Amino acid sequence: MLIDSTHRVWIVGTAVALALGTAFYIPYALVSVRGPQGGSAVGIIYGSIGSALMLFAGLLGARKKVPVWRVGRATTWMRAHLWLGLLSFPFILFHSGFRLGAAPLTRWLMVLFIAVIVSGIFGAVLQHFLPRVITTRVPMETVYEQIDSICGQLLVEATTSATELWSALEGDLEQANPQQRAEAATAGTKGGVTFASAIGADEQFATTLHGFFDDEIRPYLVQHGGRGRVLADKDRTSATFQQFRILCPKDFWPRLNDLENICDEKRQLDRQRALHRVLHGWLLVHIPASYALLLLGAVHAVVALRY
Amino acid sequence: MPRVRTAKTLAKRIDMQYFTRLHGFRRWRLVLSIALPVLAAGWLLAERASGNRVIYSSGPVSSAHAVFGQNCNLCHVRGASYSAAVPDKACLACHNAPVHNAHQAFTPSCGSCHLEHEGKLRMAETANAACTQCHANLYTKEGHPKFDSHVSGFDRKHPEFYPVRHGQFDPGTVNLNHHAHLQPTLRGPNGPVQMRCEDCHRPTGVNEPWPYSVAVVQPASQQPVVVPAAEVQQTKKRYAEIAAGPYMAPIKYVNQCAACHTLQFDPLIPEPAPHGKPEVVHAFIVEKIKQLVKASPELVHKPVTTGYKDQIEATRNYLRPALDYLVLPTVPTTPENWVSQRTEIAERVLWRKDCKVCHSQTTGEADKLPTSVKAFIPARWLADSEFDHQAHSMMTCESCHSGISGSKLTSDVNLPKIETCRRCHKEGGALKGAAEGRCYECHSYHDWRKEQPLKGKFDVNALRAGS
Repeated sequence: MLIDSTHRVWIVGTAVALALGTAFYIPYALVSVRGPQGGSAVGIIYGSIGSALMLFAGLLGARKKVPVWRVGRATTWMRAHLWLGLLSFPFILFHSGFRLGAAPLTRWLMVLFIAVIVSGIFGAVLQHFLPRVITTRVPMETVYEQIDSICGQLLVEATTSATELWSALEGDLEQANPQQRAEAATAGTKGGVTFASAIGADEQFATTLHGFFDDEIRPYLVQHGGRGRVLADKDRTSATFQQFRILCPKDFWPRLNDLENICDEKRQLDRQRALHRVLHGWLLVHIPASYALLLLGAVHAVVALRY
Repeated sequence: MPRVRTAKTLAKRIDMQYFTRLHGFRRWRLVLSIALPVLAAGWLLAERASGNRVIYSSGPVSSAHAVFGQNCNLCHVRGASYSAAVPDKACLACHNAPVHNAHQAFTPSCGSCHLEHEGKLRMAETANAACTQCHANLYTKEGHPKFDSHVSGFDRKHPEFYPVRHGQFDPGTVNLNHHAHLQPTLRGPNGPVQMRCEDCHRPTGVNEPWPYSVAVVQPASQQPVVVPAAEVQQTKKRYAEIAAGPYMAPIKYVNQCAACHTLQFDPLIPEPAPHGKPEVVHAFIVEKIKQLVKASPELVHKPVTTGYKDQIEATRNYLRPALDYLVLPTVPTTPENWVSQRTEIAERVLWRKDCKVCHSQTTGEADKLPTSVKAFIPARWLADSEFDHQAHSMMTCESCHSGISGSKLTSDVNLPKIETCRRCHKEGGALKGAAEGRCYECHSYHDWRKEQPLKGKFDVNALRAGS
């Protein structure tokens, strides 16, 4: 979610609430005999407000489970989650007196809370530019969960294209006469570009392409990311396929282009996968830590209110 | 056929049932979302099973209460409500903490000043706010408070020490000239001396002999008085580490003065008169002179003054005033008359000269003894605060009592001003690179003079239950 002018009301509301909380906290911290304590009356009020805000922020997950319920628009919930969740942090700090806590429970609570807040802020910041990066750098973006499936299909498509290409090349060789085969042994230069003679090149090219498909294209399409492979690099891929085009009769270029495009799409999907992990990876911290925080926070509240 | 990439072909690639299966990322998210809370709950359950309550504690207890272990219920007494906050009666079960002031309008709870669960801090080290919540705007149940009503901290608003405020003077009546006593050519019992502060002023508990005590010149007559620490501790110090010698031992004639200011009243009697009430002194003199004449009856036939002036002069060579008033007696005819005249001379020496060096006294009528004004040397100047000389022993006396070498009058108050203390002591203490400056450093809330003996109620099993 982009934080834009539509968030103005939430920003102002959060700032006002924070200012009020701070305005009460400063004299409380200065005047109170024991200093700011979570167990004092004011500390409990701050803790209750902070907990309520955290709980409300946590309800976003429940809200997403029942999207059809008429309990406010999803964007409103998201804005509330963002700003009220953020607001809960200073209120909990006011509650704890800006201390991490000496007991294991309170210390873990603060560690989890900091993890939730930091990961949330990190995620919110990423939302501002990473989707644009994905759009720019991954024109062939697809549904993230479909990437593996599509990569499998790309492998099928590549195998089909390569097989057809080999068949065509091998078919030409079989049909060649001895003269053509003799001519194939020669090579020449045309327009500064070296060309192999068609039939002679086909035979050699088919072998080369076969090896290239088995050694590079197939593993690359199977492998996640393709790190270290020639085809993972766009420039090296272009150069490689350009060499193939030199060796290959022009009639077969469309199939070579298909193979190159498939590799290019795979590369983009790998990039999408990597960017998606960055864009959503923080959720692996944010959500589990939030659940653990709510659980331990409830225990903390029950125990602290008693003692 | 070349590969054709159209919207239709792209759409055909999509697995329409993909959302029914958890993809790796979502699966991890679900697994972690379950695992982490379960891990947290497991941790709580494991700690509960092992009986460890420390995880819920807001912090480690103080060293003094560490013996309770995890027996939380000793302090956290659960009442009728859900709350199990620490009531004052739980503290008073072990601590007989006397009330602060009978006129105080507000009595804070124990826990509001003494912070527990803050680690190995001494709980007596209370925050300034514990004091200033009342003393910043002090009022009492009745009448006006006798203390400054607006004290907000040592650095900020704290009155000057009462004795050194403008117009205050030393109420002591024993004449003392510090300037004279610190001169380099002072005549001591065995020749010139340079006196130092510690010759007369020492913290209690120091067992070294006093250099100018009566023992120096007359070991057998009066034993130096060793002043026990408890005598001068008007308020009970709660800190074992400064129990020895926080205050200066009070000035006693036999300890600090006797070697130079002897009370020898007769050249033939080596024992000096006791330093006491005139009646006691008179009885002592009469008795000693009677013993003298009994031992040497021939003295009755000699002039009382023979050699007397010179001997007394030699004995008390530090006395400058002329001793002309000693020449008066005639030759006595009877032992009683000789004793009477000799006693009169001796007492004239004492009453009119020796005692007057230090004491203001009213001279009695011919047949009456003089009366000395009570010395009234303050044992402690700052009765409502505590000061530990021992803790400041690394410093020279003059660094705080800066005007002492020029003090010539008994009425001079030679206490340092509060600014002297503020040079080292600041609120914030070590955090500000200074000595502690919080209220508790000098003041004690509880009036420990009123502490009552406590009868224990716990046995070891009750104390260590749950540990």
